[in-house]
Amino acid sequence: MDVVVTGVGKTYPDGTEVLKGLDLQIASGEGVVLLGANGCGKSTLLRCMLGLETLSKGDIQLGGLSIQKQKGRNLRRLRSRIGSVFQQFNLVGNLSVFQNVLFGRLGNDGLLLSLNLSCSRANRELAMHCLERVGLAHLAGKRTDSLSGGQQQRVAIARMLMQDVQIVFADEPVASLDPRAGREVMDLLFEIVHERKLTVICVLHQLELATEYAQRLVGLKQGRVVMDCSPDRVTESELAALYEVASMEDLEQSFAEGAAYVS
Amino acid sequence: MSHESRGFEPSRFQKPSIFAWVVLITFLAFFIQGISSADISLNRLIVGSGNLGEFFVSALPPSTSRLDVIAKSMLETLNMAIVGVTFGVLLSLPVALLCARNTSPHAIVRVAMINVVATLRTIPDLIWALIFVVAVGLGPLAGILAIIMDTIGFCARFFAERIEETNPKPGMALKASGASRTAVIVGAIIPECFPSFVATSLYSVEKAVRSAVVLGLVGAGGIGVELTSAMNLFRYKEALTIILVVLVVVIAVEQIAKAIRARIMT
Repeated sequence: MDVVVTGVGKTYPDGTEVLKGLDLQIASGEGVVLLGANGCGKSTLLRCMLGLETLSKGDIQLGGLSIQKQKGRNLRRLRSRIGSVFQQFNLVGNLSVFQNVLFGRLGNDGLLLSLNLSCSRANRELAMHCLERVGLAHLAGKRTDSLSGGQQQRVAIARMLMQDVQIVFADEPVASLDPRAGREVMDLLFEIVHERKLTVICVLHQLELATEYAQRLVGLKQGRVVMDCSPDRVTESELAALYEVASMEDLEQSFAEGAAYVS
Repeated sequence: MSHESRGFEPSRFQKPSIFAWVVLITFLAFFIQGISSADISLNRLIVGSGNLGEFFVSALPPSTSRLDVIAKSMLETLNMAIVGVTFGVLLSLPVALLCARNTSPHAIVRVAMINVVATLRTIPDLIWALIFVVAVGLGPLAGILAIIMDTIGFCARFFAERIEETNPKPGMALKASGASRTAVIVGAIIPECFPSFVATSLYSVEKAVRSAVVLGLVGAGGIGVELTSAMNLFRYKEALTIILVVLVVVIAVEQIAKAIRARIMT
């Protein structure tokens, strides 16, 4: 699924202008990492792409369909083709892992067929298959909030696999994880993305991971695209300018202090 | 402390605002007026204590001659409470969803429902019982209807407040994957609120059992009817038995509810 963002602007009711006429084209199957300092509009752009925010101007097309123009059932059908992975996992903590994974079918099959009590045999088997894929089949019956952060993010990925996804939006998927768990989640996410030839747009603050996993780096600053290149072509001065620091050393220090991780 | 910052040090005593003075004076006026109108005197309290002693002397030992009738009435009281609370809780859920900011379909619906719930809460259960005794006649049905109204007034408010406190992120994730509004409520909001709903409902059961005892005093069924008759006919031994039975049942219900709450909230 390709993405075409044309002149997108987003101003919140309090007057904060987050996106200022942003243009971006992402081809089907491309892996893009969005970079930029806090407040530059990365997460807002993802929310706009999901149709969770109303655009102040411009248009976003996913697979040729304008997300802003879709309503009701059509919007839900389009969203069911978009997989999302969030920083805080966004799972229903006091339900079982299995039930959270089944919720991935809500957009396709509706409520009754997505509840453990009333879902089809096919959905049950698919949920177990998705859990096997992320290596958590043995935890299917556990309460979700009893799992570690890395395991919860895997559950979120399994939930995404339950959908018929064509594109993945990942908003700082490893920001709440330790480096080892973060790398495991990134490996799993991008393995799935490559297996299924999915388009992926991922917001990251970890430059090392960004350059390792992305085919293309897009830098946002004050609501505009100011950098767009492949990871092997990005320069230290470009990154330093993107995060408004004097040098890469300053940038690494600010990441080490956790300043850039605060969402 | 430097010389410059000395002027900014807050004083130990802050002068109350005009609003605080108005509240304090109003409170004192009502309090003093209440004391004087109640005609509270040491003499009355001493005489009252003597009367209370006489009551207990004539009530002891409690009579067990009509224990079967009392037990049956107590069961009727419990039935009223459980049936009333069950219907009340079931009706409270949709009402709360209409009252909560994050689930109500429209601001006008929300304001209207909040006012309906506030009205239900403002009218005491005894008044509801009197109204329903007129409407459906004497007996447990009037009591059940009164408890339903009282439970909606109590539960719908607390359910709505809990719904508004839910973490919006799991619901947002379901919405982002194509879930409908109903699916978000059933899949994310209700599961998160469920332990709190159960705890609130159990408080309602405790409240309803106490209520159901009193509702009988106005003819709405249950053990209250037996208690009124016993008191009016000066059968104090029987009245004491009823009071003790009520005490045991209310404490038992409270302990069971406490145990269930402790289990579900962990």
